This record gives sequence, C-alpha cells and structure tokens, in this order.
Amino acid sequence: MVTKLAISQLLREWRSGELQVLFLSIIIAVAAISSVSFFTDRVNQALLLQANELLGADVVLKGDREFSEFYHEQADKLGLKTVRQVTFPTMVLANDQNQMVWLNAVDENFPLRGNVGITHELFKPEQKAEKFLEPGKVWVEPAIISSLGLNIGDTIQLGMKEFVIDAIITTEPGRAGGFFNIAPRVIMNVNDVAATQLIQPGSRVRYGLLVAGDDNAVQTFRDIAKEKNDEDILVQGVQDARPDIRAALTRAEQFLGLAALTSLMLSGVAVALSARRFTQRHLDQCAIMRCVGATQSLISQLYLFQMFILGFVASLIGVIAGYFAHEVLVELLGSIAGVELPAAGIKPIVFGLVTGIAILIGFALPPVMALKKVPALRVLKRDLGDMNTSNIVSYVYGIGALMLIMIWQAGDLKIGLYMVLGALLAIMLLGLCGFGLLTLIGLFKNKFRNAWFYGLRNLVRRPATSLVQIVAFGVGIMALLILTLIRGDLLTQWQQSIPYDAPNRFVINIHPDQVEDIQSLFRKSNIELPEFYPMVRARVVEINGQKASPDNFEDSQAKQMLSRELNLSWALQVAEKNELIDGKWWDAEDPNLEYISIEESVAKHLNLSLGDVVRFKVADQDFRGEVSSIRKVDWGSFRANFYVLAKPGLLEGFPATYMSPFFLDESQASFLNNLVKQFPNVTVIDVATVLSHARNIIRQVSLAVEYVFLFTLMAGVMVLFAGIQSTHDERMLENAIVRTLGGRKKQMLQTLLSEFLFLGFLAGLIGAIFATIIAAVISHYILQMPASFNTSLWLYGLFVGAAGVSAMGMWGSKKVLSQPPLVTLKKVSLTN
Amino acid sequence: MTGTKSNPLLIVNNLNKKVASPTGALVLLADINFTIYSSESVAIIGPSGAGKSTLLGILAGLDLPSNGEVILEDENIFNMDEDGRAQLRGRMIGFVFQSFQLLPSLTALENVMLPLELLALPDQQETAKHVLDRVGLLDRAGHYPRQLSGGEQQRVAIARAFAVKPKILLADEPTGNLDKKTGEKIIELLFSLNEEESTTLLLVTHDTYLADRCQRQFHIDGGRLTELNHGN
Repeated sequence: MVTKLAISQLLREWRSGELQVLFLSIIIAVAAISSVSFFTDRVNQALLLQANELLGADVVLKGDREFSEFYHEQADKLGLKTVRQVTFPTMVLANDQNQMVWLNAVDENFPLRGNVGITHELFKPEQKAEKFLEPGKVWVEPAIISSLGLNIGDTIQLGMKEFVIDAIITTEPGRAGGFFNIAPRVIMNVNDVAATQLIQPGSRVRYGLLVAGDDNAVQTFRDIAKEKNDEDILVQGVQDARPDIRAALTRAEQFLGLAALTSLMLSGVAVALSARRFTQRHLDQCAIMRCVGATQSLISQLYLFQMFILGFVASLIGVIAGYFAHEVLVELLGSIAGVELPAAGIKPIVFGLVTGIAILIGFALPPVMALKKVPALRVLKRDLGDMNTSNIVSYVYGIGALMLIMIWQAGDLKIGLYMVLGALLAIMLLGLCGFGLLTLIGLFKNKFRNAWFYGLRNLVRRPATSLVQIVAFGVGIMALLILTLIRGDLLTQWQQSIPYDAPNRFVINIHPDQVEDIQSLFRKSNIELPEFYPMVRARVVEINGQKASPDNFEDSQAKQMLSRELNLSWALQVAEKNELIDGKWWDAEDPNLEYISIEESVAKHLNLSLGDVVRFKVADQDFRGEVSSIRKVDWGSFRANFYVLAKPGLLEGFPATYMSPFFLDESQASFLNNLVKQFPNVTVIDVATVLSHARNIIRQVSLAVEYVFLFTLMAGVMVLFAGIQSTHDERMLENAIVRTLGGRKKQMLQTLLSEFLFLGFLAGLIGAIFATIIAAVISHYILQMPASFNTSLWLYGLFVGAAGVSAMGMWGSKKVLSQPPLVTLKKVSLTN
Repeated sequence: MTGTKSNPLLIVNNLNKKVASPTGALVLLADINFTIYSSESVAIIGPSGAGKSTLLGILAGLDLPSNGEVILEDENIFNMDEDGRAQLRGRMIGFVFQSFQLLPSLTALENVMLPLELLALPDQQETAKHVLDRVGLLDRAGHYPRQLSGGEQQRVAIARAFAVKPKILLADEPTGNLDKKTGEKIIELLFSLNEEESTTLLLVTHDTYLADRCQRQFHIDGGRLTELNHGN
C-alpha cells in the first residue's frame, strides 16, 4: 500500500514540475564525481594490470655505472632472465638535419615482459616484433621519421656509426609516458653502443639491468640487491613502477577530485533548498493525512520511499552521464598513462550510486522526515507545525555524508578531512564576505528608490537565500577564474620573464678537449661566444660522516637527489641570477679548497646547513666539501644553473664534461648540423621544445580541470534555480500585488533583472577577490613568481557573474512575470 | 445621498465572462450593465460562486471579459494594454482584499509606500506615515505583517489603498477574515476615509451589516446582476 501510494504521489509531484531541480542536482553531482571516478579507476587499473609491461620486466636495477658481474651471476644462479640496458640522450643526424633523441640500447632478450610493437609504415597497424635487432640496425619512433623526412631502410648517424632504420616503434615496454619524456626514442642493440663512441667519461648515461622470472626467485634477487645496498643502485619493482606517473596522476586526481567535490557540495545545497521547499509544500497535505488517520510511521515510510526512488533513479542517470563525460577526460589526459586503458570496473558505478543517495539522504532527509511531526491540528490553525528544522541541521548531516564520500574516494581519512575542511573554510570565508556585502547594502537599502534598485532591496530582504546563492556562484566563478589566472596569466608571466635573447639551446656532453674547437666553430659561424661551464657528475654518499641513503629520507625529492648523480660545477664568482642567502662566498686566497655552495632546495630536502660536510663519489673516486654558502637560483632564467658549486680546484682531476647555454636565431639552424656533424658525441637540447611541452601539459591538465568545473557551474545553476524555486511563491504573490497596485510589467522586469544582476555581480566580485588572493598565494609560494593584479580578470568575473546569473534567473522566473495577477491572488486566497 | 448623478465614474456595458470547462462553456458573468457615480458607496452581495470576485477582478482590469466594456472616467479600460491598465490602477484604483495581501518581506510602512514608489510620487515616506497614522498604526510602522494581528494587517492594507488617493476603492470581502468586532472597526475606518477623501467605494461582501451601510446595493447570482432598492 505504501509503495503504491508513494509512487503515485511521486509521479504527481513530478508532473507538477517541483522535483526537477532536486533530481537534476543529484544527476549533476553524481555525473561529476563518477566521471572523475571512471577515469581514475581505469588509469589505476592500467597501472596495476600492466605494471610489468610498463616496466618491461619484473624488477629493474638502475644506476649510473655498468653493473658488476655480481648481479649477473646472482640472476643466473636463480634462473632469472636478464637484459642489459644503456640509456642516454643524444643527437641523431640524417639528411643534413639533426634531432635530439633518447637512446635505449638493449640486448636480444628485450623485452622480458610485454612486447615491442612495430610497424613498417607510419600510422599503419602495429605488429609484434618477432625478432630482435641485428647489429647496425635501429628502431625509431614516428617523430624521428617525420621530422627528419626519413623512410624505412634509410640511414641515420648516431655518434661515429651509421645505422639502418629497420622499423618504426609503436609500443615500447618500459618507456616512460608521454608526460615526461620529450625526446623521441631510438632502440638499438647494446653491442653497437661502443662503436658509436658516444659514451665518454662524465657523460649522462643510465645503466639498467632488467630481470624477470619466477616470483620467488625475483623476490630473492630483490632481497640480495637490497642487501648489497650499493649506494648508487636503485631497485624498482612492479609495485613501484612509474613513480613519476603515479605522482602526476595522484595530483591530477586530487585536482579533479576537488573540482568534483565542489560540484557535490553545491548540489548538496541545491538539494537542501529543494527539500526544504518540498517539505513546506507538504505541510498541509501531511496535516490532512494525519487528520484522516495516517500514523507518523506511515508518513515517514512514504517519504523515505519516495526519496529513495528519486535518489536511485537520479544517481543511475548521473552514473550513465558520468560514463559518457569521462571519455572527454580520457581524451584530454589518457596519454599520461601511456598505455591502452582497460574497460571501467564496477567501483565507479557503485561509488556514483552511493554518492547520489548519500547526498539526498544527508541533505534532504532531515527536513523531509520532519514532516511526520506536523500536527493534525494544522488543518484548523495553519501556523502550527511550520518548518522548524533549521537549515544548519540539515547541512550538518549533509556535510557528514560528504566527508564520508571524500574519505572513501581519497582512501585516506586525513586527506578526506583536509579536503572537506578546506572546502568548508573557503565556503565560510566566501559566506562571511557575502554577508558583509549584504549587511553593507542593507544599511543603505532605504536610499534605493528607483526600480533598478528594488532588486538590491529584495536581495537584502531575503538574506539567507541571497547568501547561499552568492556563495554558490562565487565558488563556481572563483574556480574558473583561478584556473584562467594560473593557466594563462602565470604562464605568460613566466615566459615574459625570459628575455628574448635568453639561451634557447643547451649543448651538453662536451668533452674537455673539444671546448676550444667548439668555441672556434661559434666564432666562425658569427654566433656570440657563450660561456662554457665544466660539469662533474657526482653522487652524495655521506653527510657529516653518516651514510646518505635514499632509504633514510622520507622526502621524495631527497630520495631522488640521493639515488642519482648530481651535476656539479665550479665558479670563482657568484653566478648571474644566483643570490647568496646564507654564508659567504669563498675567498680565492684561502688555501683550503674543500668548500661547496649549495642551492636552497638541496639544503632544504637534505637538511643541510652551513658547516655540514658532504662526501661525493665520482666513479670510484671521492671528495668532500664543507657547505660554505647557500644560494637561491632563478630556475626560470634558463641560464646554466647548478645544485652544487665547488671552489675551483676541488674538482680537479675528476672526469668532467662541459655544457654551454646559447641563443640561436632560427636563421642559423645550419650551425647545429655543423656542430653535431663535427662533434657527434655532444647533445643539443632545444629549450623551445621543452617549453612548448610544458605548456601543452599545463593546457591539458587545466582543460581537464576546467571541464570538471563545468559541473560545478552547472551545480551553481541548480542552486540558483533551487533558490528561485524556494522564493517562487513569494515572488508570484509580490508580482500579483504590485501589478494590482499599478506596477507595470517593465517595472517588474527591471526589479527582477536588477536583483539577478546584483546577485551575479556580488558573486562575481567575491569570486574575483578570492581568485586573486588564491592565485597570488599559488604564484608566490608554489610557482615562486611575483603576483600580479589582473583587471581584465575582475571585469571578466563581474561580467560572467552578472550576465550568467541574470540570464538564468530571468529564465527561471518566466512564470512569475507571465501568470495573470488575479490567478495568483485567487490561489493565495484559496490556500488562506 | 446619491452623489452627483451627472458625473458617472464607472460604466459597465454588456459585460460577459465565459470559461471553458469539461462540461462545456461555463457562464461566470452574464450581460452585466450598471453605472457608478463619483463618491458613491456600492455593495455587491451574493452567495459563494455567484461571480462577485470575478466581476471585481474584471472591473479592476486584472482579468479580461469575454466581451463587453468597462469605462472608467471616459476610458474603456479594455482598449488599453496590460501595462496601460496597470498604470490606470495605480493612478485611480485602490484595493482591499479579504486576505489582506501584504508583502511579507516588507514592513507596514514599506507596504504602504509601495504604490507611492511605483508611481514615483514625491514625499513617499511622509505620505505613508501620515496614512498609517490615520489608521492608527504609526507606532507599528516598522513591524512586518507576521508581527501584526489580522485587524492590524487589514488596516495596513487600507492605508496602502488610500495612500495614492484613489478615485475608486475596490474591496473584496474586507471583513471576511476578521471577527465581528474587528470587522466593525474596519468598516468604520473604510467609510470615514471614504467620506474624508470623497472616494467612490465598491465592495463585495456577504456581510449584510456592511452592505446596509452602502448607498446602493446590487445582488449577483449565477452571474446575473440586479440592483436592489434601498431598504430591501
């Protein structure tokens, strides 16, 4: 009986058009949260399922030197398969053109897991590489083929040796994703590396030992490697494959999650507002039902059932919408994972359904359940049993539900709490600001006598509803403005801070005896002679006599710094764009050479301070230096910057290479060909490419986040509609009375329009204020750049707010203007 | 006291109102003709559903007739558009409703000021205060409708109606929601203001005591209007 009654009542409600906002709000919230959830679920599955393929092995050892026989012997003993690997950036020459590439030299066992996918013509379907490369042949990525105008069978030069292109690479196990590796890849037989003569003492080379086999044997091998504890060897297993991608994805997930959470919160507000109206509209009905014998429990069951059906259907539609919406995220961000994404699992579906029902229960159930308490006597005394469930109470349950959802999604109590509390704090601050503005306007409300200002007075007359709407729109506008600021403004600022003639190329791997010849090539080519900096690659092995192992540090940056070689240089003077922030620069007269100057982030991550003694290892030799100064380095300057500078003389005798940053006009491109032809071992890095790659990544990520914020905006629209709906009857009555008293349609239109214009304007103003503050904090503390005030952003915020809100508001109030006043007055008389 | 017969204020000619219903056209008003002169007080009485409020709504231009005309001070109000009628209402017609129809978000003073603001008349606050004082509610000027009793709310509504010095005041069951004693006070107030301001009074009521106070009485039933002789 309850079911039938509940469904028939629900259908009646639906036809009356009063449930749509409630319904749509849940759909939007669920679509937002499940689109993000579908995306992250698929990427995480890809990382989990294809981890060995991503790694190309079961375990990988990485180091800056060739692996000793010990490791090979151990692997053999355990019956494990191995692949020797050497990787480094270098230049490829062909057709009188050059390009920087990333060389991956491996032996015939490669890959141990997964397959190399190749094709013999660009953009044709890939096939599995059945046979490994013969000596003298290489596989190259499509970018090399297209940029150098090559075909299969053509010859390219790498160092001192020429190679024939055998195939085009489409899939390469173990290749880092498109996110971080800019240079296209070349796969070569490791036995050919020596003939290229590309590896010189001090070259930037990474050695790898790929291992695969029986699980237990792999584990034993890992244990042995760990136990040996070679300070310069990093052991990577399947579980820690691709930490770079995992970190990037976690950040992207957090951003997207936050955007989705904002939509969820706003939808919650819309649901709460709609539920309140639902309750108010049902007070009389409940009183009559109570009068004719309905028990409190029957009323509770009736509404509980209705809410559940509503929540379930809306959530289901939301999940379906979220599924389609997530395809756009895959399009925008899918390349981060660098692998084919598997089909979505069941988790996002369950998550979406639970989320929708939870926000409905959290925000709507408390006021709706209060209906059972409506006294039957209300049929005689209409002011009995008026809504006394305050909004605050219904929000408390709702916020609780939101927290649980976030904690579930983040999988971490602390992060979930931080996110919800952070968002609440932002909303509270926005609310306070809105309250202040409304109070200020309230002080002058009697001064507003023109129809254009009636709207302003109306805002003050309904302070609670106005405040909720201002905050909701303020949050939406703020989010969009922050993204615009960070994406456009800060990026432009950063690029503008690089002067036109700043170096746009770096030439690295210059052997000391090539420096003079290269300098004379510069002179001959009429290119201003740049500075040449010596560079020694060394690893930190000891700090103040204590072994410095990555395992001893929690900080991931510290782990990175300790697990690979750092570039060290020497200088007599403090370098340009470097600023001493602690200690003093060395005195050339002082006979003691053992001094180093470190960059501030190295000091911070490795907990170094003045007077600390650091021991470095270069190949088999080592040296020590005392920290005598700490420098701040402007990394955005594109000069040659070094983490560690040594006093001249300290690094003497260690294998060094030189690097030189220089500016090359596009008309002088042929200089690079001459340079690489004459000195095949040097590598030229194109800064413009790095910049455009960085720009693309930022664009991709911010587009994705903006996309998710569209849901936030839609949720904001729902709050506006819910707000309009909640004051709908009041507005109808107001319109009818004003029309009866002689108010013209134009006056009504002006009043409504001005109310929405001011509402949008205030939301835009608050959004712009907070966006400016937050963006300034981000640029100062995170991007470490001076914050700038952007007037056009403010105008944009105010315009978007005022125009958007008034357009939607007027649309939502059509009926207020179109219904004849007598009809409204008769309705009111009937209900009184 | 029958007013100046040579000066008709409101002329109603052949007024009809029909609405569609599932059982065919429903006649709400049938062939209504009458004339009201300046400063007269007129009562329209009749049972529920007789068409009283429909007639009042059409006279005020809040609703349109199926055919016929309503001439207010030589102007057929149905030759005007909706905004024209709204302006005419603002200028010439005051309204008092059974259910008061005050705006809940405005104070008593603001409710009275509303029509003055809509017409952009000068000295709005002073005028509104003066009228509120006249209905004895100046001390409640800052109160919201919910803080006032039914009688007080109706007095605010009357103050609002008289604030713009209308030529004609239309009242729909002005005492319908009030107890007898309060109702009588409201009637006294209405008639004394009517006299002071020389306003024409047209009211729709069930209340025979109220109807008897009027100079002319009409009876409406089944949408047909007949004038009763005074004393009937």
